[in-house]
Amino acid sequence: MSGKFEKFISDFGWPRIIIALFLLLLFASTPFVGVKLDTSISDTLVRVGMNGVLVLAMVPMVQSGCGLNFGLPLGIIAGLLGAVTSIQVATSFDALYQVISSGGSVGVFASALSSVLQSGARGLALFGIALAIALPCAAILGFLYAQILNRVKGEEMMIATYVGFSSVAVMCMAWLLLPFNSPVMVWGYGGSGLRTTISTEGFWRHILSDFGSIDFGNFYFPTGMFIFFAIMVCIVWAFFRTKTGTAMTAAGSNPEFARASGIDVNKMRTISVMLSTVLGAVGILVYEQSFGFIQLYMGPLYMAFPAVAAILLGGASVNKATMANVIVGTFLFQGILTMTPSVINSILKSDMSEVIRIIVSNGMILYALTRKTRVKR
Amino acid sequence: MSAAPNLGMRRLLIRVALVAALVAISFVMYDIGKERNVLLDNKSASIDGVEYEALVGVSIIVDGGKKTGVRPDARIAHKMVGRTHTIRLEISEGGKSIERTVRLTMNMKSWMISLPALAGGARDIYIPRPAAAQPLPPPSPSGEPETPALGDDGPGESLMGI
Amino acid sequence: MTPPVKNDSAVHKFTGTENVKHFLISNSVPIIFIALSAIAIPISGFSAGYLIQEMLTRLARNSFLVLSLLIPIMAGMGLNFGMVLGAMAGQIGLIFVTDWAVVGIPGMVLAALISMPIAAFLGFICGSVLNKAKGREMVTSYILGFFINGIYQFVVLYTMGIRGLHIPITNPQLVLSRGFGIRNAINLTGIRRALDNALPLTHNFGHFTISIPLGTYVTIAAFCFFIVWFRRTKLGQDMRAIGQDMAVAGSAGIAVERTRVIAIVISTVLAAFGQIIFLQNIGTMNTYNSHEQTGMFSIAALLIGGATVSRASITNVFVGVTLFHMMFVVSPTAGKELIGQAQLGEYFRVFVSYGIIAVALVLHAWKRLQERERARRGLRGE
Repeated sequence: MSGKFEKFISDFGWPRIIIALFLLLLFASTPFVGVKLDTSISDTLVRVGMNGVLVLAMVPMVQSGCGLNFGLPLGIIAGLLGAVTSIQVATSFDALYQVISSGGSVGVFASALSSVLQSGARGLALFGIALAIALPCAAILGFLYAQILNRVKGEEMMIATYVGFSSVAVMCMAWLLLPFNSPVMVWGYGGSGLRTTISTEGFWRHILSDFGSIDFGNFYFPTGMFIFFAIMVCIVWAFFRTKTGTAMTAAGSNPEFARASGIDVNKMRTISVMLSTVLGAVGILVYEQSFGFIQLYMGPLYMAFPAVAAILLGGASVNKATMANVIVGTFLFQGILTMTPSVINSILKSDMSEVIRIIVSNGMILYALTRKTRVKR
Repeated sequence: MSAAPNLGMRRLLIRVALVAALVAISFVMYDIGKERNVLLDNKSASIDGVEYEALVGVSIIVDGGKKTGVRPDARIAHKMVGRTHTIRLEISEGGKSIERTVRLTMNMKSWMISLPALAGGARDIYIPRPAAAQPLPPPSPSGEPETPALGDDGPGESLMGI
Repeated sequence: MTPPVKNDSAVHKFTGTENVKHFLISNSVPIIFIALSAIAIPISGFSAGYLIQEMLTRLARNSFLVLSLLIPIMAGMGLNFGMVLGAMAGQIGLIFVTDWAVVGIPGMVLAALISMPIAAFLGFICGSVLNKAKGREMVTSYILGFFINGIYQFVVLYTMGIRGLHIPITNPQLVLSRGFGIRNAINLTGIRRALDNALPLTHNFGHFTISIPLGTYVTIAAFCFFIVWFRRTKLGQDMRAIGQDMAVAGSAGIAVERTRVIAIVISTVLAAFGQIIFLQNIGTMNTYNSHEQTGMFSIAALLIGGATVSRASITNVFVGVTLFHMMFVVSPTAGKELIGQAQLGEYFRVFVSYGIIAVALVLHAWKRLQERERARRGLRGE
C-alpha cells in the first residue's frame, strides 16, 4: 500500500504535488482574503476550457519527437484567418442580403443561406465557416512547417520559435494589406488594414461556451466549450490508438528502431506537425469565442509559451505527452495563473499578476527543459 | 607537495586583492564622480571668532563657467562634480577678484560654503546648512537644462513572456 | 590492395570557381543583406552623410553587446540568449548610479562595477542551468531570459523605493508616485554620452559633418584585443576544445562543466558593460523594456554578419551590426515609399530580425545534419 503511494508520488513528481497543494491552499484561502470562491472557480474553469485545445495541440509533436511546439503561432495564424474571414463573410452577406431582399429576387440557394445566416444558428454557421477556412490553411502551413523541421532534427524547438515569430511578423504585414473591408474590422475614418483587436460580439462570441451553460449568481460554467474540449481530447486519444498514431509514437520514442520496423519517420513527423497546427487553429478559435476578441498583429507572438508551460506542468516531458498531462496541466496552470494574482493582490493590495505570471510560466518551462531525458542522438 | 597549498594560498590572496582593488576603485569613482548640490552663501558669517561681511556687488564663476551675481544676504546653489573646484569671486566695486581652489571636505548636505569667508581668506569656509524646511534656491545657470525624469509610470503593456 | 578512403580535401585542390562558390555559400547571409540594402537605400531616400553618421553611431552603441556573444559560441554553447541577464544587471547598476548622482566616466565605471557581481551571479545561474540542459542550450537560455526578466521586474518594481523596507532609492524622480517601484523612463543625464564624448572627433566634409565617438571606439578596440588575447590563454584554449568536442575535451582533462559556466559568466558580465555603453549613448533608459530586444537584436546582427551557431569572428560582429542597422534604419522609410505605409516597413524590419535568426538556425542545423550524414556514409565506406 505504501509502495503504491510512493510510486504515485514519484510518478507524479514532487514539483507537481507542491503546485497542486499550493493551488488548493489558494482556493482555501479565498474567503479569508476577500476573494469570492465561486467567481474564482468559475474563472479558472473558463480559462481551462479556453486554453485546453491549445495545450492539446502540443501533444502530437511531442509524441513524434519534434519537441515542444513553440511554433504554435502558425496554427494560430490559420485560425485567425478563418475567424477574420468568417466575419467578413457575415458582414458582406448582411450587406448583400439587404440588396437582395429589397430587390425582391431571391434564389433558392440564397434563401437557404439567408435563412441559416439570419436564424439563431447564425453564430454556429459562422463558426463553422471559420473552422472550414482555418483547417485547410492550418494543414497547408503545417505541411510547409514540417518540411523545415524535418531538415533540422535536433534543434527543432529554437527554430520553431523563430519560424513562429517570423510568420507572425509576415502576417502583421498581411493584415495591413489583405483586402478586407468589413467596417467592424477595418480601421475607421478611411484607414486601411485590419484593426488590432476585433470583437466577436454579434457573430460567434460564446457560441460554444453558452451552449447548455450553467449560470447562477457569480458562477458560470461554459458547458458547451467543455463538451467541445472533451470531444477534441477523445479524437486525439483515439487517433493515438490507430495504426498511424502508434507509428507516430514509435517514431518519437526511438526513430532508429521505428525506421528499422518500416515506419517512415519523416512522414510521421509531418503528420504530427500538421495535426499540431490544425489543433492550434481550432484552439485559437475556441479561445476567441470565449474571450470575445480576435487579437491580430503581435497578439499571437507569445501564445505558444502558456501552452508549453501548461503541458509541462501536467507532467509531459520534451518527448512524451499524454491526455492526462493536458488536462491536469491546463487545470493546474490556469488555476495558478488565476488564483495567485487575485489572492496576492488582495493580500498586498497591489497588482503583481503580470510579474507572477511571467515567473511561474517560464519557471515551469525551465524546470522541464533541465530534466534529464534519454539521450537520443 | 608543499607547493600545492602555497599555490592555492597565492591564488586566494590574488583574488582577494583584486576584489579589494575593485571595491576601492568603486569608492574612488563615487567620490570623484558624484554631483553635489553646493550652496554658496553670501550672508555675513562668523567663523572661528572672525567676522566676515557679506559681499556687495560680487559675481562668482565656478570652474570657469558662467558668471553669476550673488546679492548680499542671498545664496545660490551650484552643482559640482567631484571634490576639487576653483571658485572665482569678482567684486565690481574696486575691481577686486579672488580665485581660490576649494576642496569639498565636508558633507555638502549639511554644510554650505560662506562666500564672505572665502573672500576673506579664511581657512575654514564652511558654515552649517539650515534645516531642510527651507526650499532650495534656484540653481545657477550652468549650461545644462534641468530636465526631470520622464513621467511614464510603470512597465506598460509590452511585458515579455506570458 | 586499395588504400583506405582518405578525406577528400587532403588531396583535392580547389579550383577558382569552386573557391568563389564556396565563398558565396558560406557568406550567403551577409551577401543577401548587402543586396537588400543596395535596393532599399535608394528607395528610402536617405542621404549618404546621414546614413554614414547613423552607422557610426550605431556601431559604437551596439558592437560591445554583440562582441559579448563571441565567447559562448567559442565554447560550443551556441547563441547566448541569456545575455539579457547581463543587460539587466547593467541596468540595475545604472539605476543606482543615477540615484546617487555620480556622473560622467566615473559614473559609468561605477555602474559597471556595481553590475559586475550581479552579472556574475546571474551568469553563474545561467551557466549552471545550461549545464543541466545540454543539447538544448539555446531554448533554455531563451526561456531563462524571460524567467529572470520576471524576477528583475519583481525586484525593480516592488523592492526598490523610498519607503521603509525597500532597497533605498532617494531620488523621487526615479520612483513611481506610489513610493516604490522604478519609473519606466529614466533620464540618464549624468552619464549621457559620457564615453562617447570622452574623445570627441568631429569632421566637416563639406555639406555634412560627421562626429565620431572615439571614446567608445577605443573601448571597443580594447575589447577586441581582449578577445584575441583571451583565445590564446589556457582558459580560451580549453573553451575552444570544448566547443570542438565536449567528450574529447573532457577526457583530455578539461573541467568541462566549470569552464562552460565560466564562459557564460564572462559573457554575461560583458553584456552588462555593453548595455551600459548602449544606454549611455541613448541617454534614456526604459527600465522595463530596454533590455528586452537586446538579445534578439544582437543575435540577429551577429548572424547577419555571417556567423553561425558554432563559429563567429570579430569580423562577423562589425559587418553584422552595420548591415542589421542599415536595414533597421532604412526599411520603414523604404516601406513607406514602396507601399505607402511606414507601418509596413516597421513590420518588415521585425520580420527580417526574426527571419534571419530562423534562417541562420535552420542553415546551421541542416549543415550539421549533412556533416553527420557524410561522416556516417564515410564510415560505411560509400
